[in-house]
Amino acid sequence: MTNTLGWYELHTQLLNWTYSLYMNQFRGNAHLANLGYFGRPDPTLEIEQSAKKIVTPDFIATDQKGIVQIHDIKGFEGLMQRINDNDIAQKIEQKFQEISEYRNVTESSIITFFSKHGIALKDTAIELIVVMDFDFYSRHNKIIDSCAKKSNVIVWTIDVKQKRIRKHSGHHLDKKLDQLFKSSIVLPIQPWCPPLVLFTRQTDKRVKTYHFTSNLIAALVQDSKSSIKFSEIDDLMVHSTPPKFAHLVQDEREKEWINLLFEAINRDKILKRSEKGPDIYELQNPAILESPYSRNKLLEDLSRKLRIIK
Amino acid sequence: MGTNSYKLVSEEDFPKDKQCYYYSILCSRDLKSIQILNDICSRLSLGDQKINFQENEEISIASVEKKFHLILKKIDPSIHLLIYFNLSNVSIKEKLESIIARIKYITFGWMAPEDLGKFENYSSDFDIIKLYTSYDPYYLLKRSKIQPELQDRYQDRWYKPRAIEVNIKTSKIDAHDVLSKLLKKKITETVKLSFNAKFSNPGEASIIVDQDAKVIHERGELQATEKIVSDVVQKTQEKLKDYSRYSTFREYTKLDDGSFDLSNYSPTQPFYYSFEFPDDINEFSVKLENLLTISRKNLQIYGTRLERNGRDFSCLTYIPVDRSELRLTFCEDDGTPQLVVDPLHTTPLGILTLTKTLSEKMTWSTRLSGFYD
Repeated sequence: MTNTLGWYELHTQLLNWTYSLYMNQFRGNAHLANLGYFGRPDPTLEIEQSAKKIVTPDFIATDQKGIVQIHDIKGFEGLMQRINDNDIAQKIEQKFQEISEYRNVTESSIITFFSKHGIALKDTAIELIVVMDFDFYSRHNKIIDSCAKKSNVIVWTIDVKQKRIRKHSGHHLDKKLDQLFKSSIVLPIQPWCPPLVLFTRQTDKRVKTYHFTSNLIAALVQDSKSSIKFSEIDDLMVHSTPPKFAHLVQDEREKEWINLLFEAINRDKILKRSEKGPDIYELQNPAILESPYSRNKLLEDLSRKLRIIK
Repeated sequence: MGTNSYKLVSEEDFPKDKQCYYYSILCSRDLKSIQILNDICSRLSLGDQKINFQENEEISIASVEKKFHLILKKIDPSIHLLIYFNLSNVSIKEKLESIIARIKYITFGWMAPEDLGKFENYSSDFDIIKLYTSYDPYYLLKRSKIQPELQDRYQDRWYKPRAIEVNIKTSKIDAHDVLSKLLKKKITETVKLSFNAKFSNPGEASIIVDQDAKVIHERGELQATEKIVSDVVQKTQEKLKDYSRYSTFREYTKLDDGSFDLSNYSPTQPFYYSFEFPDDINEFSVKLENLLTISRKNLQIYGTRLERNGRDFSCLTYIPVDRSELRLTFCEDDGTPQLVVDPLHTTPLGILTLTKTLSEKMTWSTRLSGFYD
């Protein structure tokens, strides 16, 4: 059998594997949930500054007693694209500095985030974790270890091929966790397919565009409808499976839909404004409703334009 | 097989000299039968003929006086039974079938060839049965005398099994013996079966069952046919139940701020299809990719290729009935070609549709297995 990885970018895979550790439905593989931890992706947090600044790390978790883990995944996935850069050491150092900023996240915004999930926290002690690909770590382990030590950040690596997670630098506040990470931890087979979360704010824009468009097409085809109102899009995306951006609040979701919708109109020429009303958008090529061949052509053109197929 | 029967059509309403059609309609939405019946009737375009609707808890009926009767009964959230019979000489059967094929949130059921064969048990050994069987279109295409450069042009024709049906009418005890002598090699499967069912009560009926899970009452006691219908529905229910272990369960809770939280999730069991066939894997691979991406007229599925490396390829395929989105990878495992399925989203309905499509359009040797079965 060939390896079936590749379509979901590495960020989605690493994020979903991290998420699976906190979902007790994965039973024996839900190592952190089994220790009482609760975690969710893509939180909105505030940073204490003169002006209010919002940050959106990849993942946040708590032991429900006071320890708060903030995970960064996207930062290092981004660096992997430029493996041959001479200044990679400098880039890694810079990333660790950026991540250190999460230490200044306000306690109140953390408490607010968990309280809506029914978890009451009083005091919080933050520990920072970066999650990265094991191959990337192996290539640059010296510089990563020294940066992690300097900025007091814990490093987890995920070995995609062996389906294992390891801890390399730093100590957890929770002794049980350090104990757990003494040897590598086995991960569930593939939580990204079907994924726990399809994408987050940090996901590659092209992947979001593809899923938004293909989902819109699928819904219109199923209903034999050649047009859609903007006000229907949020409901459609949230109630499709897996839901898109369901973990965000509606206002923020709709901002994403506006961007994606106008891309589908102006750049990808899939929809156009309708004469029937100001809020109505219709298919440029209504033939796709009846012809699988036209649907195939539309999706293939789109994927080629987005450079997500070979 | 079950012996429950439905009393769906009252004997007074039904004209004895007419045929009665029973369609298993699979629906991906939890709708009332009247909603689906309305949708079907609104597309019938009958001009100024007035359709009368009746509805009670389980059954909804649409009828045009002295023309036809349509009855829809909800069996469970995903299966409805559509019954149609004519009162005049003008039939709307063809129109009805093409309308159902065009409404994408519903689809016809499927009787796998091995399930279809079991209905022979209703007739005794020396009864005459009619087997409608088809050649595996791939096998035929390989052996056709068409010049290679013209094969592409003929491809569409070869993929329609009905164009190459073989009909056999013989006593049940001889049917398969005759068939194997005639065709020498077992490359065919039953696509339609016509037989007489005999019950001590209510009696006897002449019945046709086909691969779309359609049952036609030809003559005899309607109640006898309805016993067979209940078996067909039960088979479909069993299939859907069997496929439910390959689909994901998710539950979301709406939080106070309007966001949704994944509160329950059960991971999918990964699954794959394996195919046995005699000849060229390369050609099979190309045809399979075309089927799963460009698709074919009258099929709803479509997709886009992700990559191809020699005969291995991967694609994303969409199935409109339940908006399934599947990542499919074709590869070989120990010389057996396989299609590995990673669903982004699917339901038993989508899996049934894909299995039916592969079985009918590629090869009847298509087999579905889970990696942990």
